[in-house]
Amino acid sequence: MPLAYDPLIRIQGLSKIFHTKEVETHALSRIDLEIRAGEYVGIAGPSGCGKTTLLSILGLLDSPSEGSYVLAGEPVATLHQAQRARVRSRAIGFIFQAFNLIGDLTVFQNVELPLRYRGMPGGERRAAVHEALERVGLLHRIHHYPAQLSGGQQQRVAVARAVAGKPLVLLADEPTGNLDSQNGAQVMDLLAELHAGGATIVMVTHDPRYIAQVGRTVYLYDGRLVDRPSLDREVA
Amino acid sequence: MDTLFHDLRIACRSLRKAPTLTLSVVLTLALCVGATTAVFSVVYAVLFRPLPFADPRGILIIRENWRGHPGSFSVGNWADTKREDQLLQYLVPTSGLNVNLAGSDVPEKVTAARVGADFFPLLGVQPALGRGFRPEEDRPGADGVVVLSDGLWRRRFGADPAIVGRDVRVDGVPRRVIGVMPASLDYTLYDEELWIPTAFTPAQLAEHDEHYLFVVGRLKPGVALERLQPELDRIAKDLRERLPQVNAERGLEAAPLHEELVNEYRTRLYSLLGAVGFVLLIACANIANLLLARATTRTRETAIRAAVGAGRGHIVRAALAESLVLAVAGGALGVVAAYWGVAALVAVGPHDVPRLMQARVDGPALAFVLLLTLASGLVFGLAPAFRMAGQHPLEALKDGGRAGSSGQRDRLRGALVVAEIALALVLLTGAGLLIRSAVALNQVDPGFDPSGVLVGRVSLPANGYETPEQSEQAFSRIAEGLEAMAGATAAGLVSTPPFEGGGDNGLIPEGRPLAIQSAIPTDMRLVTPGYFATMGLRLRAGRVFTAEDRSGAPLAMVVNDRLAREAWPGQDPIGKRVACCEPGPDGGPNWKTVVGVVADVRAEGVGREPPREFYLPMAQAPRAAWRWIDRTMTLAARTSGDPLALVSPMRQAVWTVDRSLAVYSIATMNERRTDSLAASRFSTMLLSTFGGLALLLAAVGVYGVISYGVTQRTQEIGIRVALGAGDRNVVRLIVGHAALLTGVGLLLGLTGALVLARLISGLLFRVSPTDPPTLGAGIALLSIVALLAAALPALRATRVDPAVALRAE
Repeated sequence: MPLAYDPLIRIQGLSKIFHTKEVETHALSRIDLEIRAGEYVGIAGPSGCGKTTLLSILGLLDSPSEGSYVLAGEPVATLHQAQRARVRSRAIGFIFQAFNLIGDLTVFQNVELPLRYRGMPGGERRAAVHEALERVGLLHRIHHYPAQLSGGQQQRVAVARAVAGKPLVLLADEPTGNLDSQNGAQVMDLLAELHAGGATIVMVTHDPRYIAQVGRTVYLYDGRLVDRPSLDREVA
Repeated sequence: MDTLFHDLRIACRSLRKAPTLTLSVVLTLALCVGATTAVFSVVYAVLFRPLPFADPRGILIIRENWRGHPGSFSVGNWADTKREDQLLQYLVPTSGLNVNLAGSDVPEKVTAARVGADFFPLLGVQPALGRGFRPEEDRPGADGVVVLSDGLWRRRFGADPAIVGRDVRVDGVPRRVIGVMPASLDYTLYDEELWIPTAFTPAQLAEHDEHYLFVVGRLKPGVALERLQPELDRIAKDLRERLPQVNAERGLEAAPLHEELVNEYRTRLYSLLGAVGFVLLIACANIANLLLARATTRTRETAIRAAVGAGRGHIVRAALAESLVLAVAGGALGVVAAYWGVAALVAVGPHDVPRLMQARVDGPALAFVLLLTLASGLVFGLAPAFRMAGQHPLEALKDGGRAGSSGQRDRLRGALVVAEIALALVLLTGAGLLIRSAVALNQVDPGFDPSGVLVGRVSLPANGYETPEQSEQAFSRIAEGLEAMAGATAAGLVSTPPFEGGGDNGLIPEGRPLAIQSAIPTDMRLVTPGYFATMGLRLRAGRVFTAEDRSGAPLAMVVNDRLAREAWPGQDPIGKRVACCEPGPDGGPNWKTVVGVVADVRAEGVGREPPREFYLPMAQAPRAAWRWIDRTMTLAARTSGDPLALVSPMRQAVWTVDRSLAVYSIATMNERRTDSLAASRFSTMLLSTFGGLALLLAAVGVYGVISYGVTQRTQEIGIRVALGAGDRNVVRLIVGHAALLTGVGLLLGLTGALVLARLISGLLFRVSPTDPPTLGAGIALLSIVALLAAALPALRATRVDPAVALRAE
């Protein structure tokens, strides 16, 4: 995959419809969005507005019902499962609200996991893991298990896991949602630092303190992209 | 008590809401408890149920031995031992025989026993009707009495209570019925149905060199068994010193009768009981796994109970109540299964297993079921109960918290699967070794050709056939009649056919000192010339007998390969002379000349090495031999068609000579061969069934644990997929877990299998207990089955939606 594209992400007319037995739910409707390389974009909106669904599609965890999605110049909306997995392991880094570290694996093994799936040779893997953990200040915890770490430390490990493979884009879903304000601030500082280093970050959040820190914020309401005044009117 | 009933009521209600689980557990348990109880019932009947005698443990078998090999008593040695012994209350001689029994209708061949007058007092059994023998009736001329068994009395005399005092003809001689023994005595030494006194003549009492008595004894009250052997050693030393020509190298030994009767089957039955116990343990592990999974799904319910005040004791008790209900239901159905199981085992079991026919689901078996049921309930119920009681209510009420990301595997459930795999490998290896033994046994060349051969037995009564000449003439005429039968391509007679052992008789090759120390232990067979062709025995050298080998002609002998090899190593045995069986007219050796060598025959069973054998022409039989063989010969005829078509002509050939003679024990030699493998086939079939069941249960166990693990790890799998794991990575993760459990189980099982193989090595034939192909096949089979069992959940894991990683919030 080429290293530099403009825009890095382009989605057009993207919709996502969930079907249950008799109900059709429009989670996303006709979304058009472009994100350039190096941007720090926030996605905000009230609960149930489709933020996580949008992030799932951006992260190739789910596929859209309609519309196109081009990532780094490559159409990815209709890739099959194995192709999506391959793109995810090379181009996308995830930071989850619930950290989602694997309890049976050490800090090193957790960070190493996506690199292993990518098929990176052992020596390179070790170097990349050390570099990522050094970046988040947790190299000294390399052989610990997640349960032996605080919540803030676990999320920093999750950040290290997300960046270790130098992905094209970092997707963060409420990365501070399970943290106290002090640890939350530390993680946000870390993301800002990564952005300053050139990382493209897309972050879902509804915390106004953190919306202020991102470069651009897009708002979702009932599955549609809206501007801030419209959102304020809807929720008022 | 009220609390217990409350818990049981709640347990029943709760289990009704989970019908699939309840049914699975109850049926699994019923099958395994039923199988275990059925095997236990057989083991109990054969090994543990007391013999139907007073103080049965006190009854002993007293034997002579020669060069350490146990054998029968001679009448003279028995009489001397009885006279010398100070410790035995009873020392009673017995010998089995077949008699013609005639009452008011046609004669019938009946198995009988000659016994000393003390036989019934020794057993401590009183007659149901009449009386037993008096000492004065155990003398020649005063012995015209007979005691009937309950079975014979009912079958033959219609349970007529007036039978006592009536005369019946036994071998043509009238004998007065003096008593009928109770039904409990239908289990006997020879399967005999009537008893007559031994009534030894003075000549018999002076005979020390004819060994055919089976002697039973009982210690005097208060005498310990340990004191008996020194006493027997003292008597044996005296016998050796007084009669060195016949008693050199002879000793005496004693063993409990019960031990002696069941010894051959002990290992076989214990192996089967162990095997079915393993199956039950595997089933318990499976059930425990099911209940552990159920405990996990009820985390929230248990937490609510704890939150409203239930202590650990309450929760454990409630969980155990469910296990108890399941166990009792499984046990109750297991009793029904056990009834069928016992009937099946009795039907397919080898007929020579002592008291197998008496196996039933009785008091001890039901007590065993109760014990087994409660133990099983505890085994599979304790772990889930403590798992439920060990939950932290607050954590549980958080509804799992970050269960997905913690990814804690259930080590207890894994350990149970490891145990299942280990036990299954032990069983599969045992079954595999027995199967390979059975295959090897079936491929063994018995040394003759059994196909197309019919055999039947004829016993001449003492009355009318008192002299050896009379017996020899009668059997010669029968042989002529057999050879003339339409459809028979060959026919002959033999004193003991293959698979029934042979008459022990030592012989001394010419050139060795004429003393018992020089004797080679061998089996003797009297045959007619046609016997070799009838059985298809292969001639190695010289010739077989002809009509010229008649009485008065030079004494001829045919030996088998093994005897030829051992008696004359590196030499041509043809023409060698041998002393055996009887003194010559001058009191010196009665030399017989070896005229032929035939191939070895596995005469003691397909699985046993061929004995040293020699054949004598029936026409030249030693005079005493007719007494040794109780005037009984086996008739054999070969045909190119169905051998059973010869049954009627065979009877006609006998009846042409004497209409009163019965032909009994009729069978084809192929049936005899099959019968001789019955014990091996029985063990192989059962152990294979248990091995298959263990394999199935282990597969279910692996599937259950891996499948449950996939459910439990759904979010972890989602995270991995979100991080880039492909289908192959996911399958490797899940199957890898199964492979790890299987590998550890196989490693532990291998150790157990090697231990088991050593224990059953006595049951193996031409297969090493550490047979690599068997071990390898067991490991491969279990590995394949375990991996296949894991494949389904692994495929399910590849369909996990990675978006679950984002839904944890």
